[in-house]
Amino acid sequence: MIKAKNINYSVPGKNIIKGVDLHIKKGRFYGILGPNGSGKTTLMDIICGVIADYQGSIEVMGKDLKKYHKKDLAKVLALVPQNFNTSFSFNVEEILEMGRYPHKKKFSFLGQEDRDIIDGVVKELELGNIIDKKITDLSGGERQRAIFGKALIQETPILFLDESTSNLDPYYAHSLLKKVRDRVEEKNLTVISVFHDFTLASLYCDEIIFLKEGKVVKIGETEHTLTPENIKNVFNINSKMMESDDKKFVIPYM
Amino acid sequence: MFEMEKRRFRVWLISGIAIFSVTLLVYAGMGYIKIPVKDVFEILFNLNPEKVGMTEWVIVREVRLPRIAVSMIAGAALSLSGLVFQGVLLNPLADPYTLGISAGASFGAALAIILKLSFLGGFTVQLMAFIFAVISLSMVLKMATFGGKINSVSLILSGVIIGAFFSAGLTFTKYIAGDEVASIVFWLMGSFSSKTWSEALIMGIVTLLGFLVFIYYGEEMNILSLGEKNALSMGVETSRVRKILLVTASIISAVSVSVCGIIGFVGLIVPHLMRFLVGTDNKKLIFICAIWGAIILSAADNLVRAVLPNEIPIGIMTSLLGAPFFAFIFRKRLSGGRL
Repeated sequence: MIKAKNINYSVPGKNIIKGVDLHIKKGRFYGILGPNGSGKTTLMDIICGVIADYQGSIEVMGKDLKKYHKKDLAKVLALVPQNFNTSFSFNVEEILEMGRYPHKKKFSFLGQEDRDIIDGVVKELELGNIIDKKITDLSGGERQRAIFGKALIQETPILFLDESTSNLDPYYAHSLLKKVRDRVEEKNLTVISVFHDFTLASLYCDEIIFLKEGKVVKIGETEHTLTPENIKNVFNINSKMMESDDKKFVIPYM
Repeated sequence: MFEMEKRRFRVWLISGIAIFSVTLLVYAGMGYIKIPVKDVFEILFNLNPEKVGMTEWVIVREVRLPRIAVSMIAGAALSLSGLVFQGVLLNPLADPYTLGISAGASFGAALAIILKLSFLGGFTVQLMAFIFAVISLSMVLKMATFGGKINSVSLILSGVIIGAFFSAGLTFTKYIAGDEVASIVFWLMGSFSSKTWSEALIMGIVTLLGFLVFIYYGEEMNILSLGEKNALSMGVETSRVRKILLVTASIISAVSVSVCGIIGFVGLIVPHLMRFLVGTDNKKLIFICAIWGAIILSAADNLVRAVLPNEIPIGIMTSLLGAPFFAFIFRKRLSGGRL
């Protein structure tokens, strides 16, 4: 799906990403974990075309990232940023409709197919009760769910989540991630998500990418990678692996 | 809710076009010499020049109509550029003057006045104003661009810096101006009096082209308001679209400012008022701002021209009415935390 070779990125006075190689496989859920300032968001921005002046080569679905037309790239990958705010009071429905922008011809209206996709996501994410509200009247969590819905409406084979559930209450955080997980299994969606919460990562990810000081220090199956040794090494914090109902949790402590 | 906004849009668009057409006829009859609407109609459509009298013919065709046309076009241009600046800079307080356009234009006009330049006859002051508006705009854009990208905070700061520089230049020209200081002050206050068809034509063409550009990018403007990252990841080439929209909006407002002087608050108020009426969708707002901007500014101008006993400059009028009105809307909207 995505092949990144020797990615370097720096801003004046600081190298943020140092020689990252990544091979993202189709139909898997990746979790990126790393301390503050380790370059998680930057790496994500580079791979989804938000930051363009990186060094190295990135191939997305067999095509050089730099050769993509922006609109074509938006048909392939969608991003849910860390937080979302706007001072313009669009309806949630208007924002969801914008999700069809990459698939739409200029000046054309949304077709029945687009409407069905939007309705499907509204039902799936339980957005019905906020659909006619102004985005500016919503709470942070509700706004986040709306923008999450917009990204799903984009219907891309690759989805990037940048701590997208950090504003949400446990019900919505888990139900959103569960729905994304279902799409991974049913529709072969590829997901790359930044997490701060080990528990969420351990529950939903197939593979874990540990990032530290702009380098990938460990990558592999969640079971074998999200271990107390690696966590101690990357985050300098203790943790315990617990098992219950064949689910594994990682709980950090000081 | 959604259907309601669609209906509102239609209502405001159709009523706007109706009011626009009617007021055009009514205003042309208003003034020192009153001319009945029926006669205005005949003069307009060239039915019978002799029947209504040559004086009325000339007054309507060569004096009043060009002035009304210029005020309407300026209203549309300033409102449209305000809408675009607010949307593109994600700053609800941006207006056509934020980017130093007015400061540049004022300095250029003042320079032409004190140097008694006349290389282009009656158009010299306007041309100098336009040239300096463009100079100050390009300085602002240059200053705010880092690595090919324009950052909206640095753009507004650059606007303030360049604006301050040209304002100082303006103050200096006023200081050394002597007798011409009155003409400078008068130009700065903005006016639609003694405007000609050629000025209306230039403004009309430029504003129409800008209007078409805005319609073309209406959808992208909506997506830009979700922020840089969202817009980029949704397939909008943000820096290119932003640049095109900013430059277009700047040019249409620079042309208006050069021809009419400084007319404050229109570009700030009209877009806010229209959002209040028809919602936030820029695709609709482009039409609504153009038509209602034209109605509002021409109404203000005909108030100062034909209703008040002594004509006062339109720039004073718009700011005098605009500031309290804006304060009212602003308080009302901010109490809901939205714009």
